[in-house]
Amino acid sequence: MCEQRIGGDMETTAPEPARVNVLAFASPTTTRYLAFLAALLSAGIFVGNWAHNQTQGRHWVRVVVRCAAQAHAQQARTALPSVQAELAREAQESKCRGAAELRRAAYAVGGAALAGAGGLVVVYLAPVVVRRRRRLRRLGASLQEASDRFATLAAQAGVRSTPRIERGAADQCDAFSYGVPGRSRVVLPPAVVVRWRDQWLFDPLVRHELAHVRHRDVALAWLARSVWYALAPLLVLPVVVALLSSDRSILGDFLWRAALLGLTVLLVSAALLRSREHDADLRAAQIAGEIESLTALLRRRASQTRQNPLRRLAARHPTPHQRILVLHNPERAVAVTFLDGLTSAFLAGLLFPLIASVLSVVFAARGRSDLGNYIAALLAGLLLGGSVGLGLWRAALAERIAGAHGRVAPVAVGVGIGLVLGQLVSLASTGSGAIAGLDHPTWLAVSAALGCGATALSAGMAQVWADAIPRMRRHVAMAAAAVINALIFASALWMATTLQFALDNGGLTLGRAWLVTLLPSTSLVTGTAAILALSAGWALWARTGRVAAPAWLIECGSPPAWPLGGLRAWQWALAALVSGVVAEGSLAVFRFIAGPPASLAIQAQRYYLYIWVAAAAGAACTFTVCRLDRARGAGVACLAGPLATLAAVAGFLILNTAPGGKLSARFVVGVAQAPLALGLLFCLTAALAGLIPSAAQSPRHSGSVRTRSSRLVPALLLPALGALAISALLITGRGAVVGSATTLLSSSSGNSSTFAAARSDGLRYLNITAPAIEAAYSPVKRSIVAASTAATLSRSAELIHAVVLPQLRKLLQHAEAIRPGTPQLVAIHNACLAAFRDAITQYSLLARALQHRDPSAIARIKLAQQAAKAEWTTWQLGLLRLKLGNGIPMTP
Amino acid sequence: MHATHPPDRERDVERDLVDELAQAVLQRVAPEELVVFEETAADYFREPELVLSGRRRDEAVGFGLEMALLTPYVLAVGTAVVRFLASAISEAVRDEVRDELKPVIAGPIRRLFRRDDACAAGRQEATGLGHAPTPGVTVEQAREVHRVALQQARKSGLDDDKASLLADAFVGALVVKG
Repeated sequence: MCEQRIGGDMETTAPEPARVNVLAFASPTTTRYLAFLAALLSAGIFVGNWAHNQTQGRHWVRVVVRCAAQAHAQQARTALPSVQAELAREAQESKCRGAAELRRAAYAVGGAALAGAGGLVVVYLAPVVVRRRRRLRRLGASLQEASDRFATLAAQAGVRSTPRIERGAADQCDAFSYGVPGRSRVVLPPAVVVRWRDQWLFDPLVRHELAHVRHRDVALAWLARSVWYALAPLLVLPVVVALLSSDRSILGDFLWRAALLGLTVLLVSAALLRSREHDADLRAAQIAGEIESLTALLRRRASQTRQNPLRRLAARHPTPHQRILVLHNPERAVAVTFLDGLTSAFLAGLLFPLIASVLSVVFAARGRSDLGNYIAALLAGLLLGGSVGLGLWRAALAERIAGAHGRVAPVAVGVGIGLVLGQLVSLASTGSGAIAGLDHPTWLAVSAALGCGATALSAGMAQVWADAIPRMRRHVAMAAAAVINALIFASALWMATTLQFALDNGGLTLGRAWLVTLLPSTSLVTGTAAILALSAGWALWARTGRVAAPAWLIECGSPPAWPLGGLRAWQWALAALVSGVVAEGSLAVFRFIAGPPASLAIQAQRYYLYIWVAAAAGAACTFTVCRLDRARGAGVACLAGPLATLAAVAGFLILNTAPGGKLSARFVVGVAQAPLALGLLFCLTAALAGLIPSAAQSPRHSGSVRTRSSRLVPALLLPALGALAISALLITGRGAVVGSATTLLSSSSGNSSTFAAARSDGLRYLNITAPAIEAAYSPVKRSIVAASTAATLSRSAELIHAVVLPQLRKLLQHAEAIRPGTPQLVAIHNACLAAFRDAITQYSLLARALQHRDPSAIARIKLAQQAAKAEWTTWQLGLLRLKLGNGIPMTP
Repeated sequence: MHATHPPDRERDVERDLVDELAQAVLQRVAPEELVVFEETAADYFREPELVLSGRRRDEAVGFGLEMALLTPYVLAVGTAVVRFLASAISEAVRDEVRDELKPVIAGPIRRLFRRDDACAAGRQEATGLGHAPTPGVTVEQAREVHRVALQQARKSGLDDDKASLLADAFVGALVVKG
């Protein structure tokens, strides 16, 4: 094969160029097929929802109205402040209508299940119909030798079980494969069957079909087609019912979405089949050990192909010319294009809102509706990462051998546009009146930006990992690619969705609050940042020069030297250090100039500003490495960015601890987590810098920098200037970016520890001290109950004197020994002490009244009892405010 | 191509002649297709237009190219050639009475086929036309057969090269006097 590639001239002394084995790496089209199937099944969710609305809609509305009324009535009876009362009302309402919502979710899932089940039925029925309609038949005894030849080729092809060979009627001109999964059949046109001796016709054509069988193309293609056949009638149902009924409110909105879905099915399925054709050609050539027979067959028929641009979009086969090109240059088959990015992201955008909506309802009954977005993001991220991400990684490897270099920018733009279009077209928004589920559709730009950034990040990581490939086994590399890309895209999708929602509902105020509170607490984001940093670090450590390309990547020819390049470790490490130091240094200068914070509110603002600046240090570093190394920069930034942030965190800790501040492991984790999580978001955005084309983009060229000391200056200046500029912007615009100090906290003055320490104290009081007090109070409550149920009044008095009062006094003693760290905590704790003191007064009076039979003391007892109850409630409210403010008491 | 459908008895006779001639031609141009000739002929005569059009499908999970049998084209051209030969033998082409005599003139037509002279002679005696003139078409008739075959082949969708090859094969399958 390699010899024939260079024209069979065996007398030349030119080295044989290596032929890349593109089939060695997992094909992204398999995942794209799965995404396609998932998108179709998710459309079944819409049908299920519609069916629920038609059959159970009135009942559901009645339940919702009844639950809302009950919850409002309950709210009116409580004495809680407005925010807490609202939260309580919402929780009660959710619980009340939980059963109705679960039923709605069941209908939605049932719709998807119906589409899937229908698809399976069609998969198993279709072969029967095909066989009958196309008058397919076995070869028969007269063509036994053809059958024998087919069996021989099947054995060579490595298929798990030999498919049955059939032939078509006289009108059949092309070969094809069909059948139920696991029992494929290959149908040959009679013109080919009778020419089984022609090894330049029969053999390559049969090998091609067997390659389809081996790649499971039959199962995927027919499953996708079958699900669509099952789904299409279900989608027609709402149209028919709307036309027959008087309610046509959703008809128009639904029709254009369904039509676009149909067009998508046509174009995406055709595009997927075209991709698989190249894989089948390459596999057939690999099995044969040569490309000439297949190329000759394709050339013989090239003149038959008549293609106009529109038909080419719906064609299931590439042109013979394209196929011949790929056979000669397999790396052409792995190029990821704008359309690949667009279609994959479009499918992800279609299915995400549908899956998130049904899962949110399912988990709402358990108070975890947020899990809906998580799981939908993980699923869509897995599909998007497995198609676009895996494609980029495969391309990175193939291009190293072929000496080519693909462009990432078109793919990234395709992903960005695809995500937006998918959300726009998704059936989830049918009849909602909102575009893509948003009141302000401009926030869709968030999805576009983060989708582009995720693609750039994936491409950068692909190049970084490609450097280390010679050290890796094939399956480990594929597994790593799958996991890393899934996390990148899942995080990006989750961040885009939740940030869009926050911005759409609460504008910039809620958006920036989300960035520093909810984002850092999300394990998906922090976990992804950690895994990306570790994996980038490992790949950078494992890269090694002067090695040959891994054998499993080469089909034939001598493995070439594995090209390396990119920044040296000291360059990106220096950029990280400089970014972090300059960023934190800017903050230190600001603190020095502005002086100590005049209030806890300003201290809170400075704390949030620190989070932004530390995260921005990571962004400055990301921007720097992306500009220094367009190909690998985004991948290197997965480690360098967090290092820059940690450098800033270290600076903050030094400045905080030096004057005598407390330092603990928990404190360190607390102050590092938020900027690292926000840093991932910034990294995704700054990675777009790597998409800006430059003169030298090739991984080979972008980094022959090992001897260029001139790179020192950019590695120093660029991050310094970038960090300085971003920090200055954040500091001067802190009111707009972080928020006004008055809105962050309830104001209070007085001496206090730093804001972070105050938060830590608050959390400690909330999570440890208060539960301990309540646990210690439990036996007191039991004693009170025992005393109140005593047989005689004298006995009650005795129990109060002997048990209840000593327990209360001991409890008070312990509570008085507690020293909360801030005045606000002291105020909250004082309510607890006051409650215990009033309780002691109450039970002392009660015991005396019971002992001396003194009814006049009852009034004072009641007063003491009410006072104790009020103080106890005050204490509970203080704990609630602590919880809402995550350690800092929030004032609604 | 099939503007009229002759009655069943005549169709059987015509079909037999066409089959015989087609097999003779296939023996020259595509002998490997003879193994599936019966079925192909059955498919063709069931739906001639469909078979010739080839149902150019863009098959999912297919190969993507078109490989049609030559047999249907041979049958289509053979039909035209047989009808031409029938008209050449019989003087009254458009006479309906002569159409009814087609089974009678099958034997003489068959004698024109190069590969089946013994059978043709046997049928000739059975039909009472044992003293027919020397079998074979004239050179001019052969040229006319070539023209008819070429025209029909092109009309059926073959390119010029294949159509010419087929026309030559048809002439080659006949006995030519002179």
